[in-house]
Amino acid sequence: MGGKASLLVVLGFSMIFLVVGLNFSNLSTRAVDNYSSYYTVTKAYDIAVSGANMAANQIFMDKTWDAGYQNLSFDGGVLNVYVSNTITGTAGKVLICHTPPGNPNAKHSMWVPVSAVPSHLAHGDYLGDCSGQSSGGQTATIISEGTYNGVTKVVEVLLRGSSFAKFGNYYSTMSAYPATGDTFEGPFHVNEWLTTYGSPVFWGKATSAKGLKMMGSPKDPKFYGGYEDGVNIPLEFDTTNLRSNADYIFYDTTRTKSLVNVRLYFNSDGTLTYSQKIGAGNWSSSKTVNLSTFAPNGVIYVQGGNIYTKGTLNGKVTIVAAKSKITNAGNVYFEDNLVYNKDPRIYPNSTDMLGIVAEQNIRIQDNPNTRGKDIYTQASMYAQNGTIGPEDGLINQNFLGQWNILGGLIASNTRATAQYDYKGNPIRGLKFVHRYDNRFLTSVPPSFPNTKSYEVVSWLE
Amino acid sequence: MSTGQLFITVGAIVLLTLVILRINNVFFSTSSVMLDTKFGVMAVSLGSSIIEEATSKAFDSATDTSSVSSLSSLTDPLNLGPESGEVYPNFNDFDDFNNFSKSTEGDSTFQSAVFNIKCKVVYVNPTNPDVPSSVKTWHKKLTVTVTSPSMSDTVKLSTIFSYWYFR
Repeated sequence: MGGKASLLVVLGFSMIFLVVGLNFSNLSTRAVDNYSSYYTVTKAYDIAVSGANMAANQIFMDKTWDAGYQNLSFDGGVLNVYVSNTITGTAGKVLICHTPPGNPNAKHSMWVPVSAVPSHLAHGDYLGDCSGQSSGGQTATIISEGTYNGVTKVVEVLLRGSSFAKFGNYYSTMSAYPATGDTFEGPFHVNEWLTTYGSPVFWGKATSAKGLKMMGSPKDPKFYGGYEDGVNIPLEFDTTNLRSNADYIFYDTTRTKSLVNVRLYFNSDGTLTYSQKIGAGNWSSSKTVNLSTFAPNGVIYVQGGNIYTKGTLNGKVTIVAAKSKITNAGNVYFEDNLVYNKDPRIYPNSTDMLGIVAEQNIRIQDNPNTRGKDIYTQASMYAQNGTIGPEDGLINQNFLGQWNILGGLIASNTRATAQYDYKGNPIRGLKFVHRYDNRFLTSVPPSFPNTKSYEVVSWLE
Repeated sequence: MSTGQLFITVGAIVLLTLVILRINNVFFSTSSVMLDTKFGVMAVSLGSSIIEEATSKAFDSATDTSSVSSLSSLTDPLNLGPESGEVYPNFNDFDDFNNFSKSTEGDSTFQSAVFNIKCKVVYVNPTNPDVPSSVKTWHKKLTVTVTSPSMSDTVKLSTIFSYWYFR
């Protein structure tokens, strides 16, 4: 009886020990699987990121690059990079729906060269776009697939043309430097050294081409949106490209190479009142038209002339003053305030948006409407070869007012808006009060100039 | 106790002894595997951290504060590494990690094991990224090797960092 009991006890303990042992074996297996999986996924991810980097460099060097990389061996795995690039259009390219191996959720519509179609079809892609996915626009998409030990990781990068309108402030060079008391909203760039005095504040990301020089005391600029140097964005844009997008072109109909002056007065009811003057002739009688029918694509272009403008804009438009080799042309003058019918700070859903593109300068005209008064301007302003600011008479006037800007300033150089005492305080002219229009981060005025490069819209890993 | 019962009891004790020995063996081997995999995961994480740190730097000392448009401006392949006076963690560009080595010995956050990290940076050609390039290119490969006396495996991770910026 005692023997049987001891046997039963021993068998019982043996069973318990065997179950515990089995659990420990499973624990070992799971731990090894976990480590192996982590290592494999990390390797696959590193391969995919490497491919995205290499492709980004190729597009950085050549905006039209779309060759990609096929079956590259790297770090014990395989790298495939596919590029859809529609910056030069879609001619000679085929629209396909690409699905990364083992990752159907990452399928993507792509425009690929005809020569690349067979290899795509061979790994399960099909012609046409993926249902419900947009595939147009001037964009480039990089899809980098890193495969290691049967695991594929995908990095998807979406690039698009970068508009100058996104900048709160852009200058090729700065003759007046940001200083204590200055506050800059929105992205800031100077394509030179960024020189600061004391503690100016930059709320948006600040970039420069050559680096940062901190002067004064304390040497403490505040970069709340981050700072990066080594970023070269030349202020280069061929305004004639805008001409092809223009709905209405004012030009010298006399063909005598005369200066064309155009008045564009915006009315709050969505109309535009315009007149023009060619050379030494008289101003034509004013015409009032509905802005949306006069410029359905939102571009009004003056060839070889200047624009004189004011009013309240109800709509979305870009006005362009091109020099076209005519002396004293390519300028935009504000005759008075130029504001939106619905201020986006009060009406967040406002669709009123103005782009001003001048091949030379943008000026607040010195006239009875502007002298001795605060000025309000709401627009993204682009002066390719000049500066943005008041005429000399307003800077030297015996009055200190404010120039209240909502939008962006993009120019070749800075221009003083006031005169200052020895302490650096403005004493006459117009104090510069600038607020960035945040809508320009995601939406820009019609056909507003793009930089020569792309910007990263998304980087998905 | 009869002779039969004696034999059964002795057999039971022998069986129990064998089971206990087997379980003991399982315990030890599991413990060893658990430690090995734990150190492996830590090694992969350490390698990834170095890669993340390196890719947060400028591509080259020449692109740290300015942009370049010619390969000739970049660091010579034979001179990849920290510039004079640059000491970790104050590296400012990707190739400063060339020949960088680091040990976690004495690091209070790594009390379970000592890890040794070694880095190598080379130029690579995008058409053959596994092979170092003897000439300058727009692409650099960082290979991070992590070893430990407490770990049987060597963890090796690589990444390619290229020169570009989009604004």
